[in-house]
Amino acid sequence: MTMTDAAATPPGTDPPGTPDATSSTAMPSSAQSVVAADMAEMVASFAHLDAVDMPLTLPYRAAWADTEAGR
Amino acid sequence: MNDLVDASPAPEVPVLDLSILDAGQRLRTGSLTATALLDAVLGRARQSEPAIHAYASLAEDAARAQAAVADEAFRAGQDLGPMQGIPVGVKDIFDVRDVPTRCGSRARDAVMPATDDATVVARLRRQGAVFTGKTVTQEFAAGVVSVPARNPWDPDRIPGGSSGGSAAAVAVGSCLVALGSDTGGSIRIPASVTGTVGLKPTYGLVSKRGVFPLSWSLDTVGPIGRTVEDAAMALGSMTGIDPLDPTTAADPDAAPALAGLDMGIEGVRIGVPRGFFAERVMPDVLAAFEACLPVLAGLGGEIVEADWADAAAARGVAMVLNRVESAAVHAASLDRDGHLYGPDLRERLVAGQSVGAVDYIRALRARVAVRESMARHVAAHRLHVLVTPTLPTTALLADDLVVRHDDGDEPVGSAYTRLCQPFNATGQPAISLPMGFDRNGLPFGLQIVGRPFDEAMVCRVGNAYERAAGWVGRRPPLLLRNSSHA
Repeated sequence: MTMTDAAATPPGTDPPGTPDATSSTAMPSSAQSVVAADMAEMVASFAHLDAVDMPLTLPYRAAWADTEAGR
Repeated sequence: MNDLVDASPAPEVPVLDLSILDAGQRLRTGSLTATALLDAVLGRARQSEPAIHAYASLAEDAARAQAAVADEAFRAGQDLGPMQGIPVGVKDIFDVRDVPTRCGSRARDAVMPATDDATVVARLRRQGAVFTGKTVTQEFAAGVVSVPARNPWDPDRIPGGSSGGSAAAVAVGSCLVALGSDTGGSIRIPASVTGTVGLKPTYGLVSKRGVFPLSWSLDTVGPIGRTVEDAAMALGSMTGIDPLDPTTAADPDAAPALAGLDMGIEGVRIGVPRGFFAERVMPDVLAAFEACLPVLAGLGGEIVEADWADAAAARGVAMVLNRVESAAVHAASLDRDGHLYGPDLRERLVAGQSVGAVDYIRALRARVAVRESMARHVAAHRLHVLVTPTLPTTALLADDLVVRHDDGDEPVGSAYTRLCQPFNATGQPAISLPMGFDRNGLPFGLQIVGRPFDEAMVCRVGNAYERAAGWVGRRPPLLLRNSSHA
């Protein structure tokens, strides 16, 4: 099979927005705090649904099978 | 960007406006060949790619060979199915035999060509589909921008993502239908901003084997097409239990997506969950959405006000599962090749790493709760489908990826996924189709959500609306500048 690169990207050049290969994997601690806070907010959004008698998982369709909607 | 459009005369391409069904009829009567259809598609790609960049790579030689095989089968009277001879774009996270799966990431620049097709690609190949090339994806399907692809309705804007190249290719006609994946909206989002139709099936309906994962328990695979009928037809060629993908599932009583497409929606109960789905939504989007409701009612649909109290929780569940599972997917390669990952993806992975095991377990259990909540909601209101806007806004400018609300700015990744993600948590089928255009000519998307394995009803409602509303069939103005056949 002959693969032809998309015409958008001349050989040897990077498309716009290509990640900087020299950048580090490390994030500033302030940025890490922001994403951690975002995740904590997401976790809090479903905290009210927590109940110790709820099983870890159910077969996917089980949640629907017992309802009129699921049949 | 408009200056980059190829000014050479456009090829004769009226066949690109054919539906899959109509193209198939012409192919079967011999008035059109798969090779001629492919020529038209590749001609369109040559015209549009300099500005739109929908493809990471085109596979012209392989596609011509596949088209020749399809034509030979037609001449021999072999009917392999509705996708025989149809040009299909493939998001570059799907394995296609002998082609590298680069996932839009420098971390996979040196990856070897795939030795096998993804199951869904193999199914389409057996049915005689013609693969035009690999379409641009956001890096590892984790995001909504899809650099370097651009939006055909305004090349200064993004095509959405992560299946942005697939949607852009369909919008311009450089394939008739394309494969996408949807973990938090990645089929519906680009469909919404490119004026195409994106169909996210029920979780498990379509095999994910050979598709690079983003989040194992949320990933779905589906088509993007020009019309609801095209999307339903393509989906029908993709579904089925796969012994190699243990998450595949089927409802033996479920009808195919195409079943009853033209039955109309008389008596169909259509839930309208406002609340969460109306908050921080731009006024012109809300106006377009409100204008849909009398159209649906005029077709015989019963509009039911049905707020769903757990929408925000469902979104939170999907977000947490997505981030944590993505962090697990990339844990080893991030350590090894992290310097090759883009900053946006690295930030997402760090977010996933910040969530502890206890909260991940809580999210898994809360997913059961939100699914039960949705099941009760649907049953209580006797709903067949729910409708919402797909996105709170239209295509954003590539150099200004923020949605500005009265109460503050929202990054594009949050804004674009917000109304889609709840239905990744519940696993329901959902489609996005055009519901109008703003004053700048940018499309809005209508999201129709169904009961699990009831893709048929989702498509039935979508098809009825599409035909009544008349938004389908428009081509981006980019093409009108150069082609009298657009």
